[in-house]
Amino acid sequence: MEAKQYDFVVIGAGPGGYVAAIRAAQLGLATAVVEKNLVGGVCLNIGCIPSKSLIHSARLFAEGKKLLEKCGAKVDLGGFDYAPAWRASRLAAERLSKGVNYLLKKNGVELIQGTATLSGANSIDVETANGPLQLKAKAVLLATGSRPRLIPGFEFDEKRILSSTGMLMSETLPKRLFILGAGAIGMEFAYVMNAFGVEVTVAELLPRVLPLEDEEASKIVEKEFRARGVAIYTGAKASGAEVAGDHVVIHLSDAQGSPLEIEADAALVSVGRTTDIDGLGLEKLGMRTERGYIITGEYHETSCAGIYAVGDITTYPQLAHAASKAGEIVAERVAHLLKGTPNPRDHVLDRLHVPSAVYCEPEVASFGLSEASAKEKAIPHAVARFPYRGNGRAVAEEAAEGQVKIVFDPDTKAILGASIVGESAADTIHEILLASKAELTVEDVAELVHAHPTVSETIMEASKAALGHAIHI
Amino acid sequence: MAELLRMIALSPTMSEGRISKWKINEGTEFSSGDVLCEVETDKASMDYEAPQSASLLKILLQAGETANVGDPIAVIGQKGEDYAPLLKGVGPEEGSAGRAQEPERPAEDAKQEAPSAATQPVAAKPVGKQPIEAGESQRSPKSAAEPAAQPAQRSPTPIAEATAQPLQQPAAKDAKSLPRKTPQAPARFPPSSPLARKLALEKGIDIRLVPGSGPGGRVIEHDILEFEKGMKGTVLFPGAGTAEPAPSELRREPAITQPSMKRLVIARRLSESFFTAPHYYLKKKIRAEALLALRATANAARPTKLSFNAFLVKIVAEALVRHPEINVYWRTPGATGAGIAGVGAAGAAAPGAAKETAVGTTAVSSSTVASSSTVASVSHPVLEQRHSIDIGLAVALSDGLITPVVRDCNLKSVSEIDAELVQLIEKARAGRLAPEEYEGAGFTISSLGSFGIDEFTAIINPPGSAILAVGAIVKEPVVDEGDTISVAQTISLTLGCDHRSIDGAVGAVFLADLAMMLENPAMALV
Repeated sequence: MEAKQYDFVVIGAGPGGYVAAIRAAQLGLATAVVEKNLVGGVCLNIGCIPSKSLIHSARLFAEGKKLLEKCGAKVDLGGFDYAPAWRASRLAAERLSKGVNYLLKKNGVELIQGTATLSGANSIDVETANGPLQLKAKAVLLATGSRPRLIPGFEFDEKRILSSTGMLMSETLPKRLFILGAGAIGMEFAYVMNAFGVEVTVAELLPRVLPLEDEEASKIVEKEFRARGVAIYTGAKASGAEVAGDHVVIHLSDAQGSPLEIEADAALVSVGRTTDIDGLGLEKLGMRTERGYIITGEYHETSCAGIYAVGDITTYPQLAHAASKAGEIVAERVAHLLKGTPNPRDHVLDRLHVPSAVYCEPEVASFGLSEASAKEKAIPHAVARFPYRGNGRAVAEEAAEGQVKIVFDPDTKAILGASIVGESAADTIHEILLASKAELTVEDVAELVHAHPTVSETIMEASKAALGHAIHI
Repeated sequence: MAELLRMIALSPTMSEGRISKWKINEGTEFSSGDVLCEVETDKASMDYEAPQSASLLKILLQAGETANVGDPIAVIGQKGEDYAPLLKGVGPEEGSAGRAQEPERPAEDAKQEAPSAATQPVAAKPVGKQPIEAGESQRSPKSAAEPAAQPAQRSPTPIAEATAQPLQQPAAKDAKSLPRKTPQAPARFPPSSPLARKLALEKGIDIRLVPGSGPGGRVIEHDILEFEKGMKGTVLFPGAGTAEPAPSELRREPAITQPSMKRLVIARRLSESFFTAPHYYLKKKIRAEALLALRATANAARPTKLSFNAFLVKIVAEALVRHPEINVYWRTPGATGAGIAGVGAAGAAAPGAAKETAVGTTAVSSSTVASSSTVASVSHPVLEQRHSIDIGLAVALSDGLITPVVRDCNLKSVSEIDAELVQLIEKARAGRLAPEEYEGAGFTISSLGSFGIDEFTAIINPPGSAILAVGAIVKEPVVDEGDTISVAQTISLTLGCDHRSIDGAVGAVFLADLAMMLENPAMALV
């Protein structure tokens, strides 16, 4: 069998892989991407995108109902059907996946549907529907992503005990939903389900919801969720779940150690994601991994020269945009080596400037150093806050719960990190992010004229607060 | 068929040429072998002969402008021919600043225009318009279509500008035609982040010395911190530290120390000046009696004495008024002279006074705050004619030297100059000189007379083109007019000039005139 020859072969067509492939093709590399499932990966098909569609529907549903009731209308939810909202989420995923297919084609990236195994540093065996295929590549990028993590006692059956995939593919709503894990995925589903009227219980092992986010932000979110009737158990250990006919019983011990039984129609287990690197043949190559993650160095190159890795399978944040950016760095690096195009600007993904976002209500977004980590690392820092209730737009739109928090260097006024909780947080964070990346100081942001009334004014005000002269507080 | 006439290599090493003169006008017919224009090359002025018989339809490169070999300089063809389509694609090069000035265009547009543009070779250089800040633009990889299409859309503008802008530049006295200045605000700082600038200010680091590692060479926080690390442990005087001195017989290895910031500036500036400006030196010994007498007369009635330097500065200023061709600067592309504060001219005679504590030579300047408008960066060398007479005077300090600048010396009296010098020198000694007080000297005076040095040479202090090294006043036997030998007070003057901007004869005339005025100060008045 004759091997097909490429400059660059990408394994996995998720946000890390397809972006790298397109960027490589733009730079003139003969590029192929191997995908065993759907183009667009988890993000597009069973992750970010369909969930955003559901969040959008849930928000309109809940707020519409609230407003109508406030205005005296009698809202009859009889005949309510979740299926159209669910179908909209599938449609969004399908459209975008097709869009990626088109982009790959447009850029001359060859898409190979099949399962890839590395048979050497630059040869890849692909099992396709039409039989085996052999590829040769001058450089290889692994971007195979992750799948929901399984924990003992909570084996997925995707009927009663669901992963995020099962939850997203479910066309109907449970009456009662138990969610294990109050990270971004758990909290987003808790928001959606609660908005659609599902009775939601969330349990988290750590002492607070959204444990990776700023503590004050997670407090605000927890308070809002509780106010909407979501039951939250933090510091709770879950020992197992029993499926009993049409329902599931979850065994917990709460923060005080008292045993607790919760009955629900479905349980969602969202306790993180496991890397998908089995079957790639990495062991044979002697590639360095640690606890299932591939260790990468400069330009995201693995311990095997010429093989790169990005995304969820690496030790970088498991975020689509982090994978995409790292993918671009790899593509530019490979093109630099093979074609002499400019080297990428950053040698590796700049972790401190990767934003994270949770798209529940209120929205949460952050980047860089949190107050807690600054304290822990004894980095000189100061904190400035500005509450949403001091912002005209937020108050006018009845979204006054929230705050902007900026962590900065008290001497230089450099921006070290920020956390926003509240309306449009995931969008407005980028102003501080850009300022920080470009090394603007809080003084620069404070000086900038912001349109009134916008939520972005909170960032200007927080920056002014950093200098001791916020106006609207 | 109309076609583009391109710059050709008229000598084996020629890479670019400047049209010094068009020999025929637009619309004129010519025959093969006729001289179309004169081209200045790296070596000489050459005739550009017509490769064929045709008419000159359009001049694209005006007299005084420069083009790379291969760039279009004119359109030739039959009279009345429509050559407009030819001009498509003649415009700034992709990747040059011309591109950077343009907003990004959607890729879709580029795609549509690509075919028509691609049929024409893309001009390798902007026509007429000098790219500015060419060093800044980062060549970003783009699809092939985009660069080709870029000039196509721009073509009407550069050509119109090229023909519409004659050279309007205050010419030097010898009527050298000067390259056109690109209007551009003086760059006060190199590209740098606000945080980096702030840190530099707080840490007392001259950001212009810091190599940038950010996008496009931008100086970022990291660079300042690294630079600061390099400065730490700076020991100006080896052995002065607290370290236990080793027994002398063991001290075989040279002591390694980090040079001070100021030392680094001095080193960088001097090297740059000395290794880029071809120096030559003119020497003249003058009799100082008349000048000394003048000073004595003036000081007789004054409670505070006017310094000898003040008189020297005043008379040099007058000489510069008479010889503006000396008050120029040869600015080369990429020269840090534009942005780096620094030290010019330590005397090449420094061995005579090479002790760290007593280097009495010349110092810091930069054109960035020069009183005349300066060009931030250029793609071709340009000759800058200064309009003000700003003279720097070297001051020796324990940690290096510095050159306070007296501005507009021609408009000030000797006592005003003296008062200013006193103030500036005092500030310099206290280390409180502001950059605008030591940058931008158009001419520098360096004196080692107080160290007993008879004569010496000095290194030119950018942004100037000449430096005057003044030796000690010494009694010497001289031959008078009547061939008698007498004892006279003499001073040795050495004028160092940049040959790129000042030819030997030009420098000689200046020095002779200056010497005449110093010997007969009255002549400076008339």
